Amino acid sequence: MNTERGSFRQILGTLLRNRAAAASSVFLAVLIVCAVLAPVVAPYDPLAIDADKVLQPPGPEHWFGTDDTGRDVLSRVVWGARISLRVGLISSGISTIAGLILGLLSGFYGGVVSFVILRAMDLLLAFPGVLLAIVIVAILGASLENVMIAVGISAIPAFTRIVHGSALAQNQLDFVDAARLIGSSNGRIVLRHILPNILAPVIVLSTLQVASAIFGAASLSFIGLGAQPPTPEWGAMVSRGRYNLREAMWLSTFPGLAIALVVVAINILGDGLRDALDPRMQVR
Amino acid sequence: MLKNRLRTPWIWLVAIVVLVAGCVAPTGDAPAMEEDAAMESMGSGSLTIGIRNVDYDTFDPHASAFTQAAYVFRNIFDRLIYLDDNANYVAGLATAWEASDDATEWTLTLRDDVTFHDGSALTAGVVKFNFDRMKDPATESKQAGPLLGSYTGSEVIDDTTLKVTFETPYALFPFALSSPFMGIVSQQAVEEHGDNFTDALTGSGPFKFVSEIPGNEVVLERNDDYNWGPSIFHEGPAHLESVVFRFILEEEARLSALETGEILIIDEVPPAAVDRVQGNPDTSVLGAPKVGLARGIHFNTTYPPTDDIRMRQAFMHAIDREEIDQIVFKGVYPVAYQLLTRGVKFYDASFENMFPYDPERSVELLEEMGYTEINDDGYRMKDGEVLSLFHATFPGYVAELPAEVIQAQLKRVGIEFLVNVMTGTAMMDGMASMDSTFNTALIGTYSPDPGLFLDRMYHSSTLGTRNWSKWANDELDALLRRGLETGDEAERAEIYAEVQRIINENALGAGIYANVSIFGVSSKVDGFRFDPYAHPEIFDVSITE
Repeated sequence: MNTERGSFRQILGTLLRNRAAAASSVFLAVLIVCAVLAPVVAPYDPLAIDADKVLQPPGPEHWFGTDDTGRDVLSRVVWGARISLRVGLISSGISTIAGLILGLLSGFYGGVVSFVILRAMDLLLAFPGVLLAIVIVAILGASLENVMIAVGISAIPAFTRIVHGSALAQNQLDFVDAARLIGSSNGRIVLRHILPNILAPVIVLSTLQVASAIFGAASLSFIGLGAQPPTPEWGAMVSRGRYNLREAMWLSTFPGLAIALVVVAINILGDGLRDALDPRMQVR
Repeated sequence: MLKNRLRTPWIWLVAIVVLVAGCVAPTGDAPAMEEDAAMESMGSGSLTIGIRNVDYDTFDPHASAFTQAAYVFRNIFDRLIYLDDNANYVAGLATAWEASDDATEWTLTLRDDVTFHDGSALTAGVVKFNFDRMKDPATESKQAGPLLGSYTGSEVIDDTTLKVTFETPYALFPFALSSPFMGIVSQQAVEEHGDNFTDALTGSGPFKFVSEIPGNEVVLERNDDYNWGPSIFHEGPAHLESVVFRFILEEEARLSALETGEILIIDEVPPAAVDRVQGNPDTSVLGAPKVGLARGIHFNTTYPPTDDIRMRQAFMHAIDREEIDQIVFKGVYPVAYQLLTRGVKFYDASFENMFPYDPERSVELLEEMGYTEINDDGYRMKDGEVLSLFHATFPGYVAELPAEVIQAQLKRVGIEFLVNVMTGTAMMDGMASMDSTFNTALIGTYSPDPGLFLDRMYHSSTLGTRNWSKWANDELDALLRRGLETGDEAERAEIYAEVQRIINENALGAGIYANVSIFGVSSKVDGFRFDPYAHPEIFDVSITE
């Protein structure tokens, strides 16, 4: 079973043969480069207001127009990529790591441990993800960091459940029994035998979770619970744009498009990854 | 599970697309349903008013602090005295008012023909009950109680005569009585409903309370028996059969509701949309300046770094009001050059621009304070700590946008200005607290006479409640009280010039703009106007084709 590392090239090959996934990868790669090089790529300072250039429509000077304080929308979208990608990766990371630990514990040990963990997850699942995140942000206070934590926590149950299920299944297979018979410690069994075999669905899920997290964070910022002004966060930009939606639709349109494109691209990439990692798992 | 996760972002995406599509869809052609609703509302003489602030506190006038709440309850509760357009006193429930020589005793004569919505009669005893209720700590009065000043009690002489006593002279008492927060409630209803009075708001006004869906809408219906309105209005009951106040936070939603005719009057037309509403043949913009304390940035003088006057001065020198006007207000809201607005009584223009736009002076002051290092983000630092101010503001275009412009202006001199948007209540409570960690907050307050609000904002007795600067001294205290005690206009002019000097000189706050009541009004509405507080007056309103 331990073929993942050996067939990395194979997986990449399968992934890139999927044209949509390849295009998404290229798009995301370009976006990441833009985000990293934002200070160089962005034509203007994303925070500098300019009274003479308020609400200018898109044109050669300002490709995406300017906002109601004269800031360049393109520059803000580019800087926003930094923020959104960071939010997506960090909060997805929080849910993945927490979900892995909790899921492995409950799947491997079963019994009371499993009962406690799974019931706690049921409790969290009883609330819709965004509502749960709103509650957490309300408790912690409105800021981008807290949004990452909130969105991360709200997705833990999904990871825990999938890891729990897979770990439970692996736990009953012969090679785990064999490891146990030759005297391997619990830790070794979990880390060396179970974990590698359940990673595929987790990788897929955490990729998709990046998209959900970007979306969740944008939603929270939209309602004023996330990034505070003047942070060029996409959700916050969409939200601020609504004051001038009729007169200047470019304010909300471009950051909105950015959110949509990134979320779609990550989803396509996630789908592609799923097919590439496990050809048998045709869930759809 | 995996399948669910896959779908989630798509659902959100679809939701946003639908939402955006819904928002940008042209609203010129109103859907048939809304047209019908508008026709129906005209036929029945019903008026719907769209109000922005969904964050009002309560419609109990004695407890409330919010202007937008007053927009509603001023129609339910009558006042003892009204103001005409020139802020002269006009008889309301009281037909006469007379002060003793030292103005510590006031004798009020009441009408004898007034009945509340529950059938009980207005008597001197009821008015005494009202005054006592405003001062009762259990009422937690934000406006009415303070407006009663040093009230010590009242004595019922007969059914229509009441003697009101104050510890110190109170020449401004009749003016205080004209405030909507001094509305007279039914004693019978308060005693019957107790803490649930807000579910059964009962006054003697031209409209009766019907129902409230909190944060959503309030329905009032005409009081058919009403014939004791002040002489500034038409005689007899209101023209409108019913009035609905609908609370709509979104600017665009409010504007669309006006344009489709779903709602006939809206408040707070954003500056950027004034031309659009004015240019529409079916709607127009009506405005009235709110004179008083300018909407401005008020400093907490007990929390660092705004406890240092140099910090406050540096802040003011860094603000370019012309730029704010150019970006945000576009001349629709007048610029304020000191803590008071032009047009308020006793306004003294010599205190304008005490701290003019002068970024170099600002930098000098900051460096004098020791903020000499500059970090990678361009902010000043002292001993490794970034020069950062916590600013609290309520939501809305006219609060958030100027804050963002100020944020950018302060950044130019190296001050980090953290804009925190919160509910009005959270902002007021947070700023008022004696251990507040807010540096600045945005507020303005409006009244044609500055005596009462200045006393509320700057007297030591309001520390912890309304004194946001938390700056008080004996000299200022004495002046503020003398201003309320004397009826001598020349003396008051001197007093308030001195008060303006003290509050501006000590840099307690920076006036930014004069608020304006800007309402969008349908051409079907007749008789709509503003009172001297710039509140909407709907008693004379009728709806025509």
